[in-house]
Amino acid sequence: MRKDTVSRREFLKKSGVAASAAVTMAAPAAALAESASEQALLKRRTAVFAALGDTLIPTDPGDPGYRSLESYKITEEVMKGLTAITDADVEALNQGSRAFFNGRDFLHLTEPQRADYLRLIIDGSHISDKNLLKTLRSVYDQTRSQVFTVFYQNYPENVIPRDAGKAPIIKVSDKHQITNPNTNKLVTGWDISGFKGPLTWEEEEERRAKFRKFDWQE
Amino acid sequence: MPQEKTYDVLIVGSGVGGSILAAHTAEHGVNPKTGERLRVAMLEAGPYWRGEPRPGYGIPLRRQMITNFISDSPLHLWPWGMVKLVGGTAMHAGASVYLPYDIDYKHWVDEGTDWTEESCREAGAEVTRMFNIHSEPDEMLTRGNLMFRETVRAMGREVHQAQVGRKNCLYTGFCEGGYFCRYDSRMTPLTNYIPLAEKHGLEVIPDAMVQRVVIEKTGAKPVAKGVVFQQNGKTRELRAGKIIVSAGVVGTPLLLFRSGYGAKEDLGSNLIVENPNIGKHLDIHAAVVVSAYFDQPIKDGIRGAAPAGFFFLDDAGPNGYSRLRIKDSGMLGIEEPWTLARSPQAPDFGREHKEFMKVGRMHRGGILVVLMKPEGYRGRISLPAAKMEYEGNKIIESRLREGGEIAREVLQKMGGKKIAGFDMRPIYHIAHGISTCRAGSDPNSSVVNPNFESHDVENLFICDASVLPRSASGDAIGPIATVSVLAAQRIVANHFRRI
Repeated sequence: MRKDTVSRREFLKKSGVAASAAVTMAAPAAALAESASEQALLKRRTAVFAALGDTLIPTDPGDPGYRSLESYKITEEVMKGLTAITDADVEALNQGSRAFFNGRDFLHLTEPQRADYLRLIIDGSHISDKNLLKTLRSVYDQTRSQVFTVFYQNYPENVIPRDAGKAPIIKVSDKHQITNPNTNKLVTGWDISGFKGPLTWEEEEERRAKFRKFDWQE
Repeated sequence: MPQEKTYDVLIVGSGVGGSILAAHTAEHGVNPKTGERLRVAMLEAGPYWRGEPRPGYGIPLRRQMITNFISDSPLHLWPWGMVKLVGGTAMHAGASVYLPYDIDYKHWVDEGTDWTEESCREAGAEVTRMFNIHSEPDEMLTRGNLMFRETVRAMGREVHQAQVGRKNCLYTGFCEGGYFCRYDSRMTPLTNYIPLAEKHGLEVIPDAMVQRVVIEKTGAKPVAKGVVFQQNGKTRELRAGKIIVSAGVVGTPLLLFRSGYGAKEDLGSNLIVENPNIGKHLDIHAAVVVSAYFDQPIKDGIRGAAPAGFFFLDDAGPNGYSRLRIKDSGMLGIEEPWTLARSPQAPDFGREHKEFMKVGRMHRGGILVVLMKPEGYRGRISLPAAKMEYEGNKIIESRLREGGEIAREVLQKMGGKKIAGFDMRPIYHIAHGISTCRAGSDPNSSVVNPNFESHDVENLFICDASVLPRSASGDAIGPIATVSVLAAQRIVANHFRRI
């Protein structure tokens, strides 16, 4: 394995798919084939990031994690912040596991094997190709940071709806301008970490009652 | 371009400096010839979330706009990272305030002003009263705060209690991660000086992006005549007898540059008035954050506790320079989960990481090490890019390493584990920056005189962080507010008193 810093388009050409299409097909058909190949690459790229997310924040029965939010397209959200990682680098991570797991790609490993593979990348001592190691660590570090950021910023309950003037939209019946986007309908990063976000009015009142005793001026 | 209403005073910028000047000139200033009340307007690039303050509760508009949702993007941001808003963003991050130290007054006199402790005494008292500056009672402190205090004392070092500018605080800690307080508990110009100024006739002109100060060269000395600004897509011009620029450590030099006032090498053929000191002499803080994990919870409650560093130890260099402030900022109740997840104390990933996330918020603590105003190094604001140029030097890095080691020792003695950050590279940030249009008696090394009058342009005044020649006491808001009251007193006395 070696580091390959080509772009997605260059990667397609290198892989031979687009190049052969260009020779044998008419232009519209070639474009279609290229588009299909790009979609296949995107699908695999998405699958790798989804598998990384699942390994970083596992999901267990009764203990929701990253995978629980896939129906809310969390990987799509995560990937918005990972555009600097090339397809070639993603593929390097996917195929880098072959040397340690009987020729199997990262996507084909079991969950414990995926975790072991990430530990090998973090440890680094078993990967002699320094350029490859640099690539693998870069993909891992960027993905880890982005996955933890998106998940623990409370995706998908992380956005306060706003009007055209950018003012947060509050419920018509709301007398106290409560803008906490977190709900109890879904277990999110905030829920897992015990972070409740802005207070309810009742909680505010409790705190006012408490602090009136110490440090208050009406 | 049609000229509109004419004012006696136009103030550009509504942060602490501008708001204090607005309140004083509107309340105490009169036309010297007629004795009539002044017509004063204050222009601000950002929006106005107006309302009579109610500390501890907040008003509906501010409660709606200030979401306390920490990752919520600030609505109106300057390119250099500060928020545009009537009232500014002073007193952010817990509203800790350090009024000028004795050494500040000495430095200011050394730098050619007459801003002595005596001349600023009344101003300091006003700032203390208006911002409700006080120390928090012990009942508010977290276990981490108290452990820090006792550990530092046991190390034989003097520990100081920080002061804050808050009233009726709910101790949610949300202000620690952001600029605002939806409960009006953080004392800012929105809760003190602006309502006062409006009672005395101040006109606030929000969403007004001032393009330039109109400087005309008609006589021996150039004269400031008004401002040109953009509002709702239209370009407007207002005229005034006096112009006060209070646009901050970056905004003020940038505005003067756009007005043709600055260094010849920056302005070229656009030069109207030369002063090479505009944008130079930038002084900022450098910082490192040292953190650790504790077996027992060191914080208090599900939602926040103390939203500020409560105790600190000072380690000043010779003559007050290169002062290290080492404070317990990271013993608070609020830590954003996404920060915790990526912290040096967090396991790499997997179930171990997830378990850490379930308990870690109350167990992780940190110490902020800040280096105040190192001697012998200044940065600059590059114009017109308005970018901070501050590379630091080995002396700064070495001094911060000393501070990092002290912080590590404190955390170790507190029982902290996985201590990290003590050897990190310094963080340089424009917040708390000063001195880019500094005051002094020598026009060759300063921009305004000790009375805040431009050396070079008639009827032009400057007062904000940019005029402070130095501030050893730290977070510059206390010195800025104190000097702004002094400026207001002097401007009123020298220009707006009945003859």
